[in-house]
Order: sequence, then C-alpha cells, then structure tokens
Amino acid sequence: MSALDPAEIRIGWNRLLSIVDQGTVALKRTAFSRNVTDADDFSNALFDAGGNLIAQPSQGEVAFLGVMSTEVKAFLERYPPSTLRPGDVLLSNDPWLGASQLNDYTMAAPIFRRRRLVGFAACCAHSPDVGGRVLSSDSRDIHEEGIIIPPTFLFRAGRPNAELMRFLRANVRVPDIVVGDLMAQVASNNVVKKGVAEFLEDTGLPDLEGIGCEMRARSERAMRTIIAGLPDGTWRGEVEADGDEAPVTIRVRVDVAGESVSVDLAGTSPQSARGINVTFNWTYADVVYALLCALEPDSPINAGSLAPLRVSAPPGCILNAEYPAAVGARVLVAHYVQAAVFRALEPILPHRVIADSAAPTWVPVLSGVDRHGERFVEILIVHGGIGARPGKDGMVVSYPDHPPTTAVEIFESEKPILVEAKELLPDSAGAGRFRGGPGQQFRFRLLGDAPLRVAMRADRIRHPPLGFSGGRAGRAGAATLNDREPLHPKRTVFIDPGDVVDLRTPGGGGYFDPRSRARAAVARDVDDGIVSPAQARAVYGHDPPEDPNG
Amino acid sequence: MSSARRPGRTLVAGADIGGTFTDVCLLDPKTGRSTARKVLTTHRDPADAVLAGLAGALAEEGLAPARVAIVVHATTLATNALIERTGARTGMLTTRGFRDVIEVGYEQLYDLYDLHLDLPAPLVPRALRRPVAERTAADGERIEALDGESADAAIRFLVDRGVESVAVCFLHAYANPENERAAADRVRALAPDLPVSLSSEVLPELGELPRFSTTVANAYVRPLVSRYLVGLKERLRAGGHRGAFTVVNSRGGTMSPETAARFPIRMLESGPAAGAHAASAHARRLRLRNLLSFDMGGTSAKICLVRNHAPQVTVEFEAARVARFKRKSGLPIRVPVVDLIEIGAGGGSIARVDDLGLPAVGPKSAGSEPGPACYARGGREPTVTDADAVLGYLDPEYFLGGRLRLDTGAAEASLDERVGRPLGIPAVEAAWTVFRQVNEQMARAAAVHASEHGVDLRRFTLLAFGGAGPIHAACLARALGIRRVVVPPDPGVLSALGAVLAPPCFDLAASYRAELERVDLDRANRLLAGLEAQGRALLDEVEGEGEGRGEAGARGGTGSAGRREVVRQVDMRYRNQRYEAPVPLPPSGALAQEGLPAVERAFHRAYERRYGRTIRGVPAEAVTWRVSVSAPSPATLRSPRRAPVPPPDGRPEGPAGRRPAWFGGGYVDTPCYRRARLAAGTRLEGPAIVEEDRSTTIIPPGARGVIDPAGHLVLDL
Repeated sequence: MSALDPAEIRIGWNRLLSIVDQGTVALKRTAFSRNVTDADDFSNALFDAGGNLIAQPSQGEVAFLGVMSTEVKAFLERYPPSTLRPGDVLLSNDPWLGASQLNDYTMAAPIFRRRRLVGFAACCAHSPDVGGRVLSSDSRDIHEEGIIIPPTFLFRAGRPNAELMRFLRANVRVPDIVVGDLMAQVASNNVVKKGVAEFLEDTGLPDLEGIGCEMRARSERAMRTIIAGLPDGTWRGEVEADGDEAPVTIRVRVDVAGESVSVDLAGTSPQSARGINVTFNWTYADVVYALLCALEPDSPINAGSLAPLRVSAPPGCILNAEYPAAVGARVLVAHYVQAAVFRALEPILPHRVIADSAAPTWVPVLSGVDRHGERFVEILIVHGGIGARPGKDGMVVSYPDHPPTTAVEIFESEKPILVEAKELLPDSAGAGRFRGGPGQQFRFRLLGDAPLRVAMRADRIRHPPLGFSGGRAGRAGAATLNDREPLHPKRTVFIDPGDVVDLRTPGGGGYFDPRSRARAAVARDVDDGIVSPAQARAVYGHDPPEDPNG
Repeated sequence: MSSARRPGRTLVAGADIGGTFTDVCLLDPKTGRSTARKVLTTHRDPADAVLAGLAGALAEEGLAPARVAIVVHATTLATNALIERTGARTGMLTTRGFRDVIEVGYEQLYDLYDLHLDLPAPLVPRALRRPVAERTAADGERIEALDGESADAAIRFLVDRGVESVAVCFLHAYANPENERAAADRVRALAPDLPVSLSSEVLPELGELPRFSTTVANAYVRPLVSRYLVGLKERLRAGGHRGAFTVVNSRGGTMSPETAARFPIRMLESGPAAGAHAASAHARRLRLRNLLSFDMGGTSAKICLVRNHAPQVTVEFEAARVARFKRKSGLPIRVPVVDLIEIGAGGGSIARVDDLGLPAVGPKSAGSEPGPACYARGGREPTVTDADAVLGYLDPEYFLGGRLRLDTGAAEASLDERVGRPLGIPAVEAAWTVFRQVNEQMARAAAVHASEHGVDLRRFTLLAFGGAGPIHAACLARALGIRRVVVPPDPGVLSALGAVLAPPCFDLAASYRAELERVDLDRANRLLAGLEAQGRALLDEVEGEGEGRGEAGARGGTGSAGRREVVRQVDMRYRNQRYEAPVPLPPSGALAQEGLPAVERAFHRAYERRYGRTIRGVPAEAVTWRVSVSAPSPATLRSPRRAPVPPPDGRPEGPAGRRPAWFGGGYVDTPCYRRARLAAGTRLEGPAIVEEDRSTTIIPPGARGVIDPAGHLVLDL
C-alpha cells in the first residue's frame, strides 16, 4: 500500500491507540505491587523503529510518557537495530537515561516483522524496591539509593537473563514482588507486540513508517496551529520551593516564536546535596506536561506533538542535575515546574492555566513487616487540592502525577496500620471567587510489634500554593509525629508501635478575589464545613458583591 | 403444560421503559406466539405507558388481563434518577474520619491533559454526610462499638434536614456488620419511616469507595423506585391483573418488587440486561455457544459477549458518567451487571473532520432533536444515519415504517460540507468514509473487550438488533473476522422480549481473603451456605409473587424450588495481585481439603485464559466468594408452531423495489425486500436490502442471506 487515505489513517491510528490501551490493562492487572495495581504508577507506549513515540495510552503516568520518548532512543544508541533480535527485552533504571529515579524500570521490546525491526513496545513502572536505603529524600549520592542497571538484556532472543534476575533478587527486600512486576511489564509489551503484528498482518502494511509518519505529521501540524495562535514574545515565571536545607528557586522563561515554544530554566537553583535533584529527562517531561495542559491539543500526543516544544536547563542546576546527584525525591522539586510554567503563561492563556496546586504530591515510603509477617516496601500517596480553575473550584485529584491513593480498607488489611482519618481539611483551600481544592488529612497509627521506617517525601510546608489574580494561597502542609514533634518532610525516621503519624497536605490556591465569590457558593461551603464561618466572614466578606463578568 | 388444566392464566408479559419508547411484549409460552407493541414513554408517571401498552396488546389479541400469569418489568428509572439527580434527599452515616470517601472518589483526572474537567458531584453533600464514633478493624474485630449518642445526634441532624433516605457506610463493615446494624436500629428507633441502606447488605465487599458509593446510590434512588413499584403493582391489580409481578435486575434475572424496592441499585441496567437476555434466548434457540450481541441505536452501540447461552456478567460498573464514554468519570457502582460495553457510535453520532484533517465520528450525538440532517428538523451536522441514507441503505419513504420521510438531499449537503469538502472527496465517498469509520470504531471496542475476556471473536456469531444494528452488522462482522450474522425477528423490541424470558435469579457475594492452602474451610462453607440460603429466600419471594402461592407452579411460570440452579465461584489471584479471575466451584456440597487442588488447577486455567500465562512459585489466593441462584424462566423461546412454507426453489418473492446503493467504488442497483413477506427458506444474494418497520438489514455484495424456520435472517459473509 503506497499512500494512505484519511479514513485508513484514522482507522489505523485508532487501532494503534487501542493496542497501547490493552497493554496498559495487561500491566495493571497482572502486577503485584500496589504502586502499579492501585497507584497506577506506570505507563506504556508504542515507538517506531527510530524510537519516536507514535502512540501513548489514554491513561498513564504522564511524566513516564515524557521520559520514555528519550529513553528508547538511548537504548537504540547502545543497541543499534543490527544488534537486536526478536524476543529481546531491554531493561534499564539509569536515572540519566530514564525516569530520574532508580525505582522506575523502563523496559523496551523490539517488534519485528519479517525479520525487520518495525518498532518498540515500551513501558516504565515504579518498582517497590531497588536496593539501597529505600527511596527517600536524604541520600547524598545516587549509589546510596540502590543499584543502577544500565540498558541490559532482560531477555535475549526470548531467553531470560537468569544472571540478571538472580542479581536483582539478591539486591531487593521484596524479590517476588519486584520480579512479579517486571514480568507484568514483559506481559504488557507482549500484548502490544502481538497487537502490532496483527495490525500489520490485517492491513498489509510493511511496517509502521507510513502510518507513523502520518500520525506524527498531523499531530505536529495541529500543535503548531495552536501555538501560531499565541502572540510571539517572552514570558517569565518563578516559584520558590521549600528545598532541603535552603529554599530552591525555579525560574522559567517561555519564548513563543511563530509555531514553536521554547522553555528555558536558566536561573534555577544549583543541584542539591540531598535527594531532591531532577535529571533532565524528567524536567523535560514535566515542562511538556504543563504545556500540553495549557495548549490543550485535541489530538493524540506523539513525537509530532512534542516536536514544536523545546526545553533546556543549564547543566548542574537542580532541574538538570549531574552524576552522582541523589534523585530519590525528585518530584519535590520537579512538581513545581508546572506552577512556574503556568505563571509564565497566564498573561497569554488566562483561561487555560490554574492556580498553584498542592503539587509536589506527598509520597512517603513505608517499609516494615506486613500482616503475614513478610517485609514490605510501599509508597503512601496523599493528595492535596489542585489550584482553582478560572471558572471552577479546584478539587482533590492526583496532579501532576497520576497515581491515586490505595483504598484504606486494602491498606489496613495488608499492613499493621490503623488509619484514623482520611478526610478533607476545613479552611485549607485557597480562597477566591473560585477556591482551590482542599488539602487532606491522612492520620495513621502503627500497630503490631515491629517498627516502621517512614521515609518522608513532602514539600510546601513553608511555601503554600499561591493564588492567581487576587485569589488567596491555600494552607501549607504539615506533618507531625504523635501530635507533638514535627516530622521533617525530607528525612527518614523509624516509628514504634503505638506512634501516630499525621499528614496534612496543602490546599490549592484560589483564583480571583474571594470577595467576588457567589454568596450561595460561600454558604454551601460553610454548610459543608469546608469553610468555617470565621473564614467566610474574614476572607469572603459578609456580602460578596456580584461579579459583573459572571 | 399446565395451561391445559388452567387455560386462564398462561401469558407472560414484558415491559421495558426506555427514554423514548416503552415496549410491551406478550408471549404465550405454549404456542410460542408473541405480540409486541411500542408506545411513547410517559415521563410524568412511567406506569401510564406500561399499563396503556399492556392494555393495547391485550385488546389487540382480544384477551383479558386475567389471562396474564406474570408481568416482568424492566426500567431505566433508577439510572435516570442518578443521571438527572432526581433521587431522594439522602443522608449518610459514616465512620468518623472518613466523611469524604464518596467526594474524593478515584482521585484521578479521567482525561490526562484536561485540568478543567468536572468530576461527578457526590449524591450526598458533605453537610449530610455525618461522621459517627465507631470502628471495625480489617479482620472484623470491633475496635470501637457504635457510640449511641453520636449516632443519635447525627440521625437527628439528618431528620431535621428533611432527609428521605439514609445510607450507613462504615469502614470494614463487610467483615463485621454489627456496628452498621446497630446504627440501623438507632435510625429505626428515632425515625421509623426512614429507609436505611447498609453497606454490609448492599455490597459486603472489601474496598470503601465502591461499597460506599454503591450504598449511597441505593439509598438515593430507593424512595423513588419503591413508590413507583408499589404504585404500578396496585394499578395492575386494579386493572384486573391477578398474576405475579417481577422486576428485571442488572444481570438479566428477575427479582420480586420488594427486593427491587430494597436494593434498587440492582435494577440499574435492567433494560440493557433484558436485551442481553433476549440475545441469550436467541443463542439458545440457535444453539450458538458463542454469540456477540450488538445493539446499535440512536446515540450509542452496545456490545455484549453471550457465552453458553448466558450474557457475561461483571461487577464493575459506573453510573451517571460526566463524560459519557470515559472511564472513571462516573459514580462507581459495584453490583452484578451484564457486562456490556457502550460505544459512542449510534445513528445520531455526528461526523466531522477534526483538526488533524482526519474523519471522526461521535461520541457527540444529534439525538432525536434536532436529529440527523436527513430528518429535516434543523440538524445541520452530518450523522451516521445521514451517511446510511446517502449510501442508499435507507428508504427515504419507508423510514420507521414510513412515519418519517428522510431528506436525502439534506444528508448529502451536510456530508459534503462537513466531511467531503475538507477531505476533498465527493459526498458519497464522505458517506462511505463515515460508514467505515463508525464500523471500525465499534470493531475496535469489541476487539478490546474480547481480548480482556480472552476470547477469539472469529468463532462468534453476531446477533444484530436496534434500529441501526442490522445496517452495520455485516461490515462490523467482517472487520472482526466474524462470518455469520443473525438478525432476529422484530429486532426493535428485543428488551421487552428479554424481560419475558428472564429467569428469577440472584447473585450474592462476600469477601473472605485467604491463601487457598490456608483457607478456613468451615468459614468458607458457612459463608457459601449463608449466601445460598439468602439467594433461595430471595427466589421464594419472587415465586411467592401474585395471588395464591399454590398457583405458582401451575402458572406455567416461575418454576419450583426443586429445579433451582446454584452456581458457585470464587474470585482468585496470585497473592499480592489485585485483579482476580473467576474460578468455578462445585455447585453443591461442602468444600473439602481434597477438593482444593482441583480449585487451584481451575484457577491456573482461568488465569491463563485471561492473562495468557500462569505464574509459578506464588501462592493462589481466594478473595471474593460468589453464589448465583436461579430458577427456570417462565417462558422460553420456541419456534412458531407453523413455519411459513418456503418457496420450493428458495427464491424470494419479487423485490418490493430496487434502488442504487453504494458499497465502495460505485452505486449498484440493489433489490429491496420487505421482511414480512419473506417466507422461511428464502435465500437472498448480496447486495440486497431487507426492510422492516423499525430496522433495515444490509446484505453486502459477496454475502448471502437466508430466512431460517424461526424467522431469523441469517447472513453468511
């Protein structure tokens, strides 16, 4: 088949998207760790023979989608097509090639058709353990954080690499779960490989080149058209994060020129001595995510959509950290990137950006002994509120990462932990005509007789999410142990049975002056206990004037 | 058949209330004769249409209401109440510290890049979600008994606020319902008339979000549904009906109106479930073990796998989605429900060229107002029906039996403007593009659904119904590698027929998680026995319906206790996984240690079928135990006694007309037949068009059709 007509392109495109979605389902349903089965901390995607992203799923960890774009190319650099065989599976967790954290394993499986390489099925998933001191904020170099696996064959021509498996098992605390998840990644890639093979068989296409080119070209054109509608110029945004020992500045410069956007991060603080550093891949993914949210292309995302977007950061800054920086809590800085980008874009896209959110997501890592007497290592995700939208209140959703919290009943049935509260926090939402999403309290008591290691990874204790255009800041976060001592947001502690940990995530910032909020909305929030009568009086005013703009 | 002794009460009536039409179907199980009737739905009181339709159908046959043994009812009342938010003012008592479970929901953006989306508002506002002091642990231990004072204060608050229904949702109540029951006692003491829904009764399964959300939804629709059912039952009595009255549940079985009034959440999908059940009945009559049921209407298409004459059932469901076809944009509801996927592809789905320069169809629909461009009611956007009209598949003079004249010119103009010109192709090519596009979309969704169930669709037969189904069926089947399509007689009223054919049936489940090797068999057996007893009691209730219990058997109807069927299964996974595969258990008798290896082997097989592999070295774990109890259907589908005599040479009576139809490449002069005039045994060569009142079947070139003795139109591709 030479040229594809529009109907064929659309049909093929939809089919490739649905194949990738099937890969997502396979990974989630056959994995073993709660990171994957419940927190959805993974993504998969389809790449062409050159390592260009051609189809990503409708659900997934967005930053993983961003980093895989560069990582598959890095695999190809080390293992050019001539060295690859059907049945190969490549694996790596190198933060400088991939997802900026050792726990995130990227796996890529070449897809062959008639002995010719036609593409890659790839996926990246957060593994509960990778050896070292357990994912935390307080390491001082990457080697404390675990083992690094450079791109290596996990399977070679269909045969498992038994040495690598043994080596991995020997280095982790929960080998069955780690290996079980890796096999779920293999299964997911196999689903995509099979789907692509059937697709090529049914359509008679020799490879993914023709359809992939069309898909990329059309997504790129759609993106460029959107960008062309923006005024040319330079816009700047800056935010400050708690940092580890000193605050961290994130500075963004956005240049819109014709049909391209470039984002540069010069002026951002230098890399940290602790584990809050970010490698460039991740920075790229988070910046791109912010741009995609703001530009809102109505087209599937692929390498074409990303082509008009450029991101740069000076080497050695905290968003382009160099070896041997520790990166275990990279989201504590990376998740501020969206806020900085939105600040820069507000003048030109006032209806598309949102006020500051509770991001960074709080993701402490718990490790101890479960109810079966076996060791566990697991992330505990507690979300706060996202910023108010210009036209709507904020809400409590995972953002900018995608993982939801594991259900309390499931958590309690597996871990010797009693959750005393998981509830919205009154008066935590940033006030505004549209208010932010409230923060949440997550309070738990350790049961059993073994201590629990709690590696805190939290931020916005000193820097609450700010409001936009006259909206107020949300309430900053707070973490305490036994309601007395504050828990350091970036250190590891051991707690004893009977101890109570209380985590209060921040509320999102508000949008526009709170005194212009509809009276009925304030009354409803007061009735619901989301806003106290005191806050209603002090911040919203007794008689909020009607907003002339509705 | 008992009717020989009691010629009086033999008929089974089915009624299905849809958004636009209420369908009524009357079946005489003895002769197989059935009558169908379509009347407009009466939204103010939907019972009006049911009674009018029933009276009309009886009058047409010259029969008295007393001849009806059973009235089986399917309705979207509960679903609509959730979508339109017209349910009761509902209050919630919940564990202190967990007031916001239903508000926080999935905590996920259902569209990755849309920060401006809406999440479904909780059915109970925060003010009416009252925390009370109580706590149960994961193993069922009561850490803190219900604090009566805190419960009373919360209940008084809700009563003062005028709530009409209460949901009690406590953490781990599936493991120990005591605190919930104590709370129910307090409600009954303080407000005896307030209906109470307990999460430990509505859904005794692990996982607070689905359990709370399902229980709250149950409470929310309960007063409305129970008022309606009581009212309808009384009006049926007043109208001279002396038989039983039952309601179709979401998995395609029937239950008593009393059960439906207590657990209305179980009838959420009763209409589609009845449709799927009718498909199953056809599968049984045609002896097809693998059937894909395909119902394409105005706004969406529904696809369901029917295996071994029963629709696949799932417990994962979402109601009232904010974005209709997006997962996780609705209220999580976990009840047994016919596992059908809904795709935003119907006759009214709008076609356009998007900003990628590619054709796109749906999910936006022109609905019935203004409707497709060819309805000439002001619709300017081209729809799938417009494409079908331009391709010559629809007779402009005979749409809906001639009740609506189609403006093919308007269809052509809209396709030309919105699809043809942007793509640089003539209108008819644009129509062909839209036709292929929508078929492919449905095929993709069906293929994904099939792969999630581990089935190979090439071994399936497609059963097509709904207004638009038989038009698209052959092309859809080809895209899926399916070689046979069946269009049942009167494909427009299948759900009402399904209601008639639905057996009394109930599914019950309870969580008890343990590694298979370490299962406490006493506990498991007690649990299974308890579920079975509960199920049998619910069947007793269905069978006790109507006047004179003694007549139940003699009504030729709901069967007898001795013929009940029990199916038991346990959902299993490898330890630490989160998704289970259903594993069959022996239907009766206590589970014994010796039986466990067989269960484990069955698990490995089930897992492999679903996920393509087994895992060694990881223990198998049982999670949820399920019992399904059913009695025989009041009626089965049989072939009509006297099949029409086929023409000796199998050739059809001459076509009613001819018109040009497009199958790619050019118009072909195509014969059109009226289905009513095609005798059994008639053979048709594609291309051909078969028309009936509410549906049209397309037989594309290269396909052959035959009318089988039961009146099915069977296409071989």
